[in-house]
This record gives sequence, C-alpha cells and structure tokens, in this order.
Amino acid sequence: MSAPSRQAVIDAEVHHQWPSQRELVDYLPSEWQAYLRPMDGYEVQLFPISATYSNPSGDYVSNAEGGPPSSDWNALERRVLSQRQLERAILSPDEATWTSVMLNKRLACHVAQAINDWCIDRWLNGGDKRLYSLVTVPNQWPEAAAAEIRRVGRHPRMVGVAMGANGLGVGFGHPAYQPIYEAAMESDLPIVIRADCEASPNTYTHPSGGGIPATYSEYRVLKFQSLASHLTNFISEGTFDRFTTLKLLVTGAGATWISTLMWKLDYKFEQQGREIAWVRKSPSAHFHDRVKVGSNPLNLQAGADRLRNLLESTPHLEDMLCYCGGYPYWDFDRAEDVAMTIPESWREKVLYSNARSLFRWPD
Amino acid sequence: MVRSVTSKQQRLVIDADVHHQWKADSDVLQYVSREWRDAFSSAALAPTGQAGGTIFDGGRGGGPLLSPSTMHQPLLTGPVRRPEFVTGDGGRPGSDYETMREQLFEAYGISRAVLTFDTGMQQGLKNPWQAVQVCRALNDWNRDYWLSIPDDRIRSAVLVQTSLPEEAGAEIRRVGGNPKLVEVLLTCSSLGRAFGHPIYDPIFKAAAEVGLPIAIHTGGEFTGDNAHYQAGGVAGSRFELEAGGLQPVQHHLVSLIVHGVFERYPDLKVLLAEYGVTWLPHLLYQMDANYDLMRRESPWVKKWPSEYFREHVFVTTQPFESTITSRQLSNLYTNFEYLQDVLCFSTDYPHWDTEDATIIRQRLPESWHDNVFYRNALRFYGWKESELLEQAAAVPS
Repeated sequence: MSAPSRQAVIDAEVHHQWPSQRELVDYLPSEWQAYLRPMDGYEVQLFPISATYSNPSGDYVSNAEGGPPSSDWNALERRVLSQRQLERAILSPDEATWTSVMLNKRLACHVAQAINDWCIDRWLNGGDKRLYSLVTVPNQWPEAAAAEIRRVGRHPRMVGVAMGANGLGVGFGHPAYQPIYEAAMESDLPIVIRADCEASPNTYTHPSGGGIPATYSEYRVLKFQSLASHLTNFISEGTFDRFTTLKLLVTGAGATWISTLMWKLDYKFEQQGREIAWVRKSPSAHFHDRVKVGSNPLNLQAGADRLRNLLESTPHLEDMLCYCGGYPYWDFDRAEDVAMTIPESWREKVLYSNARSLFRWPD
Repeated sequence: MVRSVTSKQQRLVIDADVHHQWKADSDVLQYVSREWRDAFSSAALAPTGQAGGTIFDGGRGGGPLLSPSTMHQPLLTGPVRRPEFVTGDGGRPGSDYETMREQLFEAYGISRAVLTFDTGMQQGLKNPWQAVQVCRALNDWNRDYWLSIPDDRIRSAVLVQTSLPEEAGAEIRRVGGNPKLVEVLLTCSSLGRAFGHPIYDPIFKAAAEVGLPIAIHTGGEFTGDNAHYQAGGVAGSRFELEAGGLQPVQHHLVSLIVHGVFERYPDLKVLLAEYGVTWLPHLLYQMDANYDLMRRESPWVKKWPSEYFREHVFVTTQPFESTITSRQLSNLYTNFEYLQDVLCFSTDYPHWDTEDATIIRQRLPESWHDNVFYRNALRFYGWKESELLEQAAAVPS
C-alpha cells in the first residue's frame, strides 16, 4: 500500500468534551453555579437532551478507560495525536453543539462563554501545540453570539466558529443570523456547520423533508438534507454576496451529495435567477469559492470504487474536500482511509492545503 | 394532421407525467355528495374571473374547496403553466382534450400518457373528511370527463387523500378496477411521516389487492402540513423551494426500504415523478453504505437497498437538470448503469418546465433510449408493446 506517510495532515474535526459537567460549571458566574446546584449532591443537567437519533450499537468508539471518549486526553493521544504526520487538529464541539438550542437563552450565553474559556484553559493552553478549536456560539441570540466571537475569536488558537444546532429555526442564510457572519468575517474566521444541526428536539426545523425519520439509519442517510438546505439558503438569501469573504465548512454527511446539489441549484438559477437578483454568481461558482466539505463519514461499506467514482465525478471537489476524522464517533475515519479512497493527485489538498487555506491559523 | 415522429421508425414514446385539469369547478362539484356540496359549494362556485383559474395561479382552480389557499404552490414569480398551452377557448392549460391532443399527443408524438391531475394536492387538505369527499369527486369527474374520451392513448391515476389511510384504501378499491386507471397517486405525506411508515400501510395493501402500482409525485409537502418539504427551515424563494422539493421523495424512498414495504408487497412497483435525475447515485450509494445499520434496526431489510430499488422503483426524467453535461452524467452513472432500466420519460405538460424528448436524446446514451422512452414504462404499468403498436397504428390523425 502506498500510504501517504509523509503527507502532513490537518484533521479539521476532532470532537472534544468535558469529562463531567462540574468542570464546566466552574467557569460559570456564581449565580448560575448556584442555580445549577440548588442543594448538596444535586446538579441540574445543562444538557438533559441531545440528538434525537442514536446508533443502536453506540455513538462512540469504545473507550477502554471508560467515560466519554471525547473527554479522554490519553485516548485522543493514542487514537489521533499519535499519528506522526498530523500537523494540526481542530477540536470541535460534541455536546457543546446543543448550546444554541438551550431554551434559556441567557443561560446559553454564559454556557457558551464557559465552554470557550474551558477549552482555552484545558486544551489550547496545554502542552500540545497542534491543537486548535472553534468558538462555540449561542446562535439563538445572534447579537450575543457575535459578541462572543469578538470576545474569544482573537485567541490565536481559535481558528473558526462552530455554528451549532439551529437555534432560530430558519435557514442559516437568513438575515437574522447576520450579526454572527459580520463578527466572523471581521475576525477572518470561517463558519463550521454540522449536519446534526436539526437533530435536537429543541429545534423547530426538521432534519429531513417529507416527515420525521423513524429510525437512526433513515436519519443518517438523510442528514445531508440539512446541509443542502442551509447551503441553498445561503445562496438564495445572498449571504455569500453580502459577506464577500465569508467561508463555510459543512461537515458530518460525507461529500457525495454536493454534486447533485450544485447541478440542481445551477439549473434552478438559470431558470429563476431573476427572482434572487442579488445573487451575482452561479451557485456552483459560489460553492467553489466559499464552501469546503468535510470528508467524514466516508461510508466505505458500499465499495471504495463506487465511492471514489462518485467523488471524482463531483466538479471541483478536490478544491473543496477537507479531511475531517470525526473522532471519537463510531464512524470516524483515519487519514489513511481518506487518502486511499480519493485520487492520489487530490491527497495534498484534501489532507492538508484545503484546510490550511480555510481556517485562520496564527501562522 | 401529420404526426411529427422524429425517429426512423414507429418509435413508442410513453409520457408518465401529464397534468390534467377541470374546466370549471362545477364539473367536479356535481360529484360531491349533497350534504358536503351545501357546506362548500357557495364559496367554491364564486366567480374567479376566468374559467378554472389562470396560468399564474399555481394550482388554485378558484374555489376554496377544490384548491384552498393553503394548497397553492407558494412563492410564485411567473407562470406555473406555459402561456402557449392555454386552451382554444382561453381556459386553463391541461383542461381541454382537443388542445392536449394537438399540443402533446400529436406535436410530441406521445403514444400513451398518464394524466396525474394538477397536481393532486387536494389529498393534503387539512380537514381529512373534506379531503375524502374531494378526492372521490375528482375520481368520478376524471372517469366521466377524461377516461370516457375515445382516445386509447389516455390513462390516468387514482387520487387518494393520505390523512385517513383506511379511507384511502376504500377509495382505491372503489375505483381501481377501471382499466384506464393505471396507478395510485400520492403527493403528500399528510401524517408527518414518510410513506414507508406503517401508518400508511392500508394504501399499499389496497393497491396490491387491486394490482396497481404507486406513483409518488413532487409538490404535496409544499402544503406545509405535518411534514416539512425540506430540512432546516422553510424556503424564502421559489428557487429554494424547487431545489429543496426533492427532499421528501428521498425520504419516501429510504422509508419504503427501511420499513420493509417491498418485503410486505413483493409485487409492488413505485414511480417517483418529477424530481430530476442527478440525485440517484448519491442516495443509492449512501443507502447501501448503511445496509448493516438498517438490518440491525429493521431486521426485515434483507437485501441491499439498491437491489430493492432496482426491482421495484422507477423514476421519471423531468425535470432533467440541464446543467449537467452528458459527459458528467455518464461519469456520475458509472456503477449505476442499471438506471437505464429505471428512468421513464415524462414531459410534465403543461407546466412551465415541460420537456420534450430532445433533452433526453441529447443527454442519455442512445442505447438507453428505447428503455427510457417506453420499455421501462411498459414494465412499470404492465403493458404490452404489441398492444401499444397496434393502438398507435389505429390512432386517428
């Protein structure tokens, strides 16, 4: 096997998590600490619910040490950071994704601040200089989210903004979300949108068209629809035209869906572009300039050849695809899995330079 | 009139998706039972300015009974139907046989067409009992106004509401014996679940009993009831609406497979109408890639999802994304060659994006043409080629 052993790698998605809520609560203002601990030995759960759909065999890779694997430094070291060619890894939200659908939006603002401060203290200021992270924002209150981006977005190891779950129940291109994009663009930070942003019961939007999925496998096959809708909405609302340097990474649903979306949008744009006259480029041209797609999950189970062919038949994908490992979820992909699946000539871009140009690195 | 068949020989062309329409609301209302007519007719019969509505109205015939305001396609920015398809007497496109004969059957050389209402969104009416009445009336109107026309090129669909599946089953049994009705048309998952969900089983059971395939047509979820038509929030433009409009059928397809509908009804065939053609390889791949998960959660899934698809599912060609080049399309369809046994030609006449055969001839390999223009439809509808050839020879010109 011609494993790309010397190709430097950026893993644009490694999930991290607090080992227990207590660690996070210490970063909250005292009145919220008191609220969460109304009596000795009792603690209100900050995230009582999370995603509606779960893998029946478990959402995470098994962790020998016990505890949430995304909070386990040793496991992360062994499974991810020990890869010698790994140059940078971006710590991404796990449970923090649901901050933006917490119903108490004032508490959510404090929780987002606590998560960001905790992340900087515990992960970014630690010994491993390869670690970077994303700003968690309470998007159900866009002005507060923008303030949070301005507060911690200048930290040199915060290289992007994690949009989180859909807090307002409208497409992410909607003008209501604009303050977030203004602040992100000001700080030169890209926005990361995950496919599970419609997966919480607190979200007004559905994770799929035509009804609510009944099983995890249906949800899993269809969750690209959430990303397809948000990208369509970004085009339709002229969000790329208004925010001229704003960039996106969409992750969590692989990359096989993006070609058909571009063909469909270009087709509709040819027919109906005059309805959205503020859109100054074809949708696929906007995608090419502004959108990157995460590789995880590869889903090789239906055949690497079929998958490679689908990826290869996507126009410009070699400039859009970014390696996302997705550790510690059960379907995480090692860099070599991705390297062996894509055409050899794409490796440098997909494993490294696409992410290198997307995020706001300190160097 | 000279038939403009473009090919060398008498080639059959079957059109799996044509939208037909009533001329005046009263044509349909006469079939509504007396008690329901009293409840609705005064409003429904109010003048609408033009017989049967206009080409701009997105499906509203005028009266709130037949097409209430919640059911028109939102976000109209131009004609929904082509102005040149307005009928000879100024009526709505698709409402007059003579006009359709000239513009569709003759001009496009269509050997047989399946009329699928325009677009049957009445099945998503919010009052389920009203929906039962309206769908019954539409089926009766269809029988008397269209299926009695002595032109054997005409076939049509049974329209059923979907919020009361048992009632839908009864309607399929009531009218499904008419040999000119060749499919059961579903447009709207009124109960907030995709069509594989067991709650819809009575519809599939009745269709199997009567021996009819199912057609699922785009657009019903625009009625915005329990099922959103797309993930992630409602659309802000028609561009967005139509781009997202294929999300429900992707869900219906996954749902039919995951919930074992094809295991329960091994002879069932399903046609997916008006969703385009570039989304299939992606979804087929991803379903197969999740086969292990499906079997764990839904033990009745016994074959690769793409196998169920190949055995049971057909897809219409319109709207054929014109932005994909023929080379890109053939690359995309590598490893999915079986799509040549699945795609069925359709025009979508008389809608604004009506397609004739040209785009298909240009984009798909020539070796696929016979399959796409008629052979796949013959298999879907269970028709014999010889019968259509005889009929084509006998067509009055």
